[in-house]
Amino acid sequence: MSEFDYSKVPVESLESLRNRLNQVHLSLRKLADQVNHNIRNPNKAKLPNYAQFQNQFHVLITQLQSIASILTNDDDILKRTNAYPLPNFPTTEQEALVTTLLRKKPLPEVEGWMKDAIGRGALQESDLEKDEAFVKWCAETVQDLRDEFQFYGFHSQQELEFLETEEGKKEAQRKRDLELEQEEEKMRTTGGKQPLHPNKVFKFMYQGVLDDS
Amino acid sequence: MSKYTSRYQSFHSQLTSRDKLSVAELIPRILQERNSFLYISEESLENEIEHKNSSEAESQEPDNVFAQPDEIDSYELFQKNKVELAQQLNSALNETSLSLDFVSLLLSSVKVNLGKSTMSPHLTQNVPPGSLNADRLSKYDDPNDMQSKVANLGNGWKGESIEKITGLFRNASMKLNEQVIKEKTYWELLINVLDHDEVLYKTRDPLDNSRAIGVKYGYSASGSSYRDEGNAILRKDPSSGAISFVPISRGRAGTKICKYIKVRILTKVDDDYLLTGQSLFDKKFAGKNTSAIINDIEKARYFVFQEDLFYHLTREAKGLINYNILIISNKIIIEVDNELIEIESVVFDEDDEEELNNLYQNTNQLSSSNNRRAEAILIFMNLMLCCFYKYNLSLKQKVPTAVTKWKQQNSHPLILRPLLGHIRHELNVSSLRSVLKNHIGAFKQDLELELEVIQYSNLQAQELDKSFENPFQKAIEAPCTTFKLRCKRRDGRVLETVIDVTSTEIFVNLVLNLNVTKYDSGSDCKQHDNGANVLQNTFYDLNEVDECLNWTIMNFINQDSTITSADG
Repeated sequence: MSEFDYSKVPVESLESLRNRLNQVHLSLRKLADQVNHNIRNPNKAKLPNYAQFQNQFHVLITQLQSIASILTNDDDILKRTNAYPLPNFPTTEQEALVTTLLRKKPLPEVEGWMKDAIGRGALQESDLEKDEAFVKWCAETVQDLRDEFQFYGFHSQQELEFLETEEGKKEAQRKRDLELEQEEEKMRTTGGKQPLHPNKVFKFMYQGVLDDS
Repeated sequence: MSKYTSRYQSFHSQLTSRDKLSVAELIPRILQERNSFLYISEESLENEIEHKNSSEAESQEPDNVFAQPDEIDSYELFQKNKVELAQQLNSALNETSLSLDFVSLLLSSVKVNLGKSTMSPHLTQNVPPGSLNADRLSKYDDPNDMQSKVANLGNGWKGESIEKITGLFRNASMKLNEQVIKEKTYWELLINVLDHDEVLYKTRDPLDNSRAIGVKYGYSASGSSYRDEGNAILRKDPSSGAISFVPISRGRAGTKICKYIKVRILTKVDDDYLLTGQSLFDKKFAGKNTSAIINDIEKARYFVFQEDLFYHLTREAKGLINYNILIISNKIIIEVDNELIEIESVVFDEDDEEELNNLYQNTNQLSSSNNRRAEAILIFMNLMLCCFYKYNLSLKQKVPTAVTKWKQQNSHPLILRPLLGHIRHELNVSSLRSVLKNHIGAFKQDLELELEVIQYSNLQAQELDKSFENPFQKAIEAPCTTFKLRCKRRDGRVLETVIDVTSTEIFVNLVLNLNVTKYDSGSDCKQHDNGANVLQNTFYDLNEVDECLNWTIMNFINQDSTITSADG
């Protein structure tokens, strides 16, 4: 083993990449298993619901993002690193394997996808600051809109606005006064005792027995 | 298009192969396709086949009710997307595996165990660890080109994403807007119904067991014990949010056949029955209210009452078969005194305005002379059923005991019996009157005769007590008319004959209570003092009373002379 000089292998970035790739691999495997299982046995296995899908995609995106950031950070070293098979690699038997492993070209569909995006991106004017501002605006607008659609209480917007006006305040006051009055009246007639439950009254009327329990 | 044609062809081959199926196979098949035989009629099938043939002739467009292209398409699209998702996931998984293998193998040159732990089994079997090495190149060429490419790539993807998400938001907001409009129409219509003081309740639609709001249009809560409780569902149209009125009977939804009751009076003229009167149907449903749904509710309410009424009428008529009452399909025919009273349940056809509007066709004096009477009979029957509802409701409000429960289960309305009873009573009264008139004529020479007739003599006491006034008392009690015949002899002795013309509890049997009392003087008679009871008997036949009376008066005349001579 020691006959080769492995000093140029970028160990640190490979290590962190390996971890992240492993995570992505596991997440993808889980998701793929679920979907494939459903396709094979549509009656037995259920697809994960919308929220679960959403969560898993979210996890995937985060993991891919962290891979991308590692790649960007170690951009300098990784770009200059060139990997090649050593003599102890069974190149003749595993020719397909070595070419696959060392492949840098993306899959045809991915390449098409990238080409489209590049074409598109070339047409768009790219201004990083403007973009950032736009993204910020999007986030804020979405947040605002979401706040607008959170409803509390049992009043409609019109009723809430009415409550804010002078007249509305007066009416609210009137209602409170009326409630207080009723409360006093109740105290006066019952003397603070709990009234009988209607069911109890019915029972008494029907059976003539008033049990304390 | 080609998809449809192929489906259509397969449908056709099904049709032809169906001819070869045995009945045991055929029936489940039809059930599967049509849900139930309930909704299949000969006409509907004929229509369908005709329709199919014509559409086939016009264009090769398929028109079958079984295939629902929209639904299947959305399902197919879902399946397609699912398979595509699986493919993309698999290819991503594959790429990730390769990357992981590559990184692990390269790493295994320095950290053997760490690298080996994430290598795929295939790689570990075939390739020794540490068989990959790396060099560091001194310089990377043309970085500028790559840089701009990457930036463009990012930009492109960003643009694509924003476009997609904008579309999603736009779609969602459009859908929400539509939904809001639908909900608004739905609840506004519901409020309309609620403002009309209808009873709404939560229920489930028997069609798909989904939540729905029901309306109680019937009389089940007002004392009706009819099997149709008068419940309906206000079904929401998913595309517009409008509600439709769907009556529910016995847990099933469906439209009902509306029938109303019509009374006809036929009079015998020269051995032939001629129409002399009929009730008028003057209900107008459409256009009365602003909301069509309220019209529907009112209409259903009217007809469920009519249905209930006819149900009770037929029940009552069954017990009266012995008294010249016939029940023929949906007609009750009462024969009494040269007249036929027909009570018919007629199917209401909204489109047949001819029938509804020109009820009094070919009117002349004769054929409309009893119109008012027919109307009155119909109103009486309606009123009596209302009274029965009221009575039922009062029973429900009482403290439940065995008696009230028994009453609840065994109460039936009095409708036909009082009607027939009173008609027959009038006849009996007039025939008794003519009998008595005959007697008065016959004994005029020997006696001084005086006749007094008191109608509703059984209700006299109540009539005095004005606080207890019930206009329906006459209708629910057996009719009773009292005849008082006073025969005064020349010597002052009086024979008072009291005849109560009444009936049994079922109103139709004649009962005559005869009570003859003898008084010594006219003043005694007035005060009912010192009377000697001569005869007290109950008769069920007018002739017997006639004979008996004849005999009694004869006897009075003759006996008197003997008594007088004995006294003298």
